[in-house]
Amino acid sequence: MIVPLVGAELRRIVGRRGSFYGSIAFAALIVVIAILAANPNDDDTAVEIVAVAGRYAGLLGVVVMGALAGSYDTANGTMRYLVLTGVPRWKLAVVRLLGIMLAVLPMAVLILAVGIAWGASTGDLDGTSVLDSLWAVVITLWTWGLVSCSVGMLMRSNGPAIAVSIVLFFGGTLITGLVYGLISETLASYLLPSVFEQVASLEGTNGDGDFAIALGAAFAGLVVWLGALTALAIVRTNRDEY
Amino acid sequence: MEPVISLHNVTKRFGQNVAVDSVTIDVPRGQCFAWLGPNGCGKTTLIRMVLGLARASSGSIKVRGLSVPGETQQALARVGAIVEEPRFYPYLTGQKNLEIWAAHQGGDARRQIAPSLDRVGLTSRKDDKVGGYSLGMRQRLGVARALLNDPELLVLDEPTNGLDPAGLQEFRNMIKELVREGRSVFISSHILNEVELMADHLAIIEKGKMITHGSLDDLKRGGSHAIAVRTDDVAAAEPLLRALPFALDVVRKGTDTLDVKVESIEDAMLLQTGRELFSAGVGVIELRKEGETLERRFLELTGGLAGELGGKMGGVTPGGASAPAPTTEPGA
Repeated sequence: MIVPLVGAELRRIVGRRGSFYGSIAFAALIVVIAILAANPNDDDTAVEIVAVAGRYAGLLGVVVMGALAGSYDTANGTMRYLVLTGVPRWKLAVVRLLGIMLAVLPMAVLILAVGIAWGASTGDLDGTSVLDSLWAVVITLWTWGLVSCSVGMLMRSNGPAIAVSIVLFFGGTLITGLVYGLISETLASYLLPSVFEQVASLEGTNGDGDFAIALGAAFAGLVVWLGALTALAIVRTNRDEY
Repeated sequence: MEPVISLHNVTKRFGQNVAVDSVTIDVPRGQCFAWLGPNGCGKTTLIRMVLGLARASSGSIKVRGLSVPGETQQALARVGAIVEEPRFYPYLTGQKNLEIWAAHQGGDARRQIAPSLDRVGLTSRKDDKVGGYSLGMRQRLGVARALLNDPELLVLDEPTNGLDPAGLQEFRNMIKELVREGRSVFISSHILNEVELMADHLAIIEKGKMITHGSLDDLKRGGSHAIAVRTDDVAAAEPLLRALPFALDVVRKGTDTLDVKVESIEDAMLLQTGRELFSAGVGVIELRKEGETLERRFLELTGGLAGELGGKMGGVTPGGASAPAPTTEPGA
C-alpha cells in the first residue's frame, strides 16, 4: 500500500518543477564551477572535489525541496483531502519523508556521475574515493532533506519552512562553533552539524578531522537528531486539524 | 433505516467562542440534506468534525454507523467530500490530480477516474493544468474526486460557489441523479433558493446553534401563511379584515399593506377578502398569497437573519420579516 503513496508523493515533488529541477540545475552549476576552478591532487581526488561542491550546493536545493514537501499540502489546503482518503495521518507523514529521500537521488546520481566522468578523464579515479563520495553526497542530501521536510511539517507554511530550514543549517553551524569555543568541545560534537559532518566523512577520533567523539557515537547522535525531528513532525501531523 | 450521519450534542469551542453548540440530529439516508445558514455560522466547522478533520470539544459523531473519531478510516471509506474549497495541485493536470487521490484511496478508485471526469463534464479538459481551471471547473473536479471511491455519502461544503447559472442547473441535476442512485448527499449552503431546489431535508443553523430541522415540506408548512393586502385605506381595511372568518390576526406591513394571518391559504379566501373590501368601498391595489416559501420560514425563524445572506434572498427584505420564533423547534 505504501508504494503507490510514495509514487504519488514523488509526482508531487517532481511536479513542483521550480524547486526540483532548479535544485538539480544549481548543484550542476556549482559542480561545473568547481571543475573549472579546482585541480585534483593527492589530497583531493576529482570525485571528492565534485562531491564536496555538489553536496553543499545540493543541500541548499534539498532544503527548499524538503521544506516544500513538508509544508505544501497543509499550506495549499490539499492535506484535508489526503486525510479524507482514509490513509492514516502518520503514514502520510512517513510517505513525505520517504518521498524526499527518493527525490534527492537524481541529484546525487548527477553529482557522482560528473565526478566519476571527470576523474576518469584525468586518470584520477579509485574505488575508495568514489564510495566515500557516494556516501557523503547521499547522507548530506538525506539528512538535510529529512530535516527540512520535518521543519516543513512543523511549520505548515511554505515560506517560513524554507527560511527556518536554511537558518537551521547556517545557524546550527554557527551555534556549534560557539558551543565548541565557549562551552564544551564534547557537547559541540553531539550537535547536529558536527555529527552530520563526522558521519558524512566516516572519520573517528583517529582521523585528521579533529572529531572528539567516536564514529559510532556520531552515528547514534545523528540518528537521535533525525529521529527526534521526524517524530515531532509525525506527531504534529497526527494531531493537527485540517 | 440507520441515519447516514448521527450527531449527539456535538459542540466545538475555539477558546471562549462556541462555533458549534450542542447540535443533535440524525441525517436520513438516501436523501439530499442541506445545512443552511449564513457565512460564519459554524457550517464548515461541523463538516470538518463529521469528516474527522477536526475534533469535537464534546458530543459524539457517527458516520455510516461508525464513530468519528475512533473508526474514522472505515467511516470515510465510502465518503466523498468537498470542504471549504476544492483544493488541488495547480501544477498538475486534472487527470494527474485525480490519479494522486486514486493512489491514496486504492481499490477501484483508479478505474473511476474516467467515469467521474465524464460525469462532471471535464473529460475534454483533463490534460490541462488545474492552475488554469476556473473556480467552477475546480468545483466540478472536486465532485469528480469525491466520486472516486463510489461514495455512499457525499459531503459538499458550499458546492455551488463559482458556478454560473448553467453550471448551477447542471449541478442540481447531478445531485438529484446521485440521490436517485441511492447515495446520501449532505450539502452546506448559505443560499436559500439553491437549498429549496435541491434538498429533501434541511437544518437551519444560526451562530452555531441548530434552530430547526426537518423535511422541506414540513418546514415550509410549519410556517405561518398570510394574505397580503395592499390598499389605499389601511385604517378602513383593518377592521374589515379582522372580521373575516378565517383571519387569525392582521398585521400592518409598511404604510399601505396588511397581512391577514391564516392557517392555510385557499383561493376562496382571496376572493372573499376582495369582495368584502370592494363592497365597503375600500380600494384594493394588490392581493397576494404569502407563505410556503423557505425564505419566509427562514425569516420567521431567524428574525431577519437572511439579510446576512449576501443578497441571495430574491425580493424579500429582512426588515419586513415577522418576529423571530420565541423557542427552538425540536424538529419535524
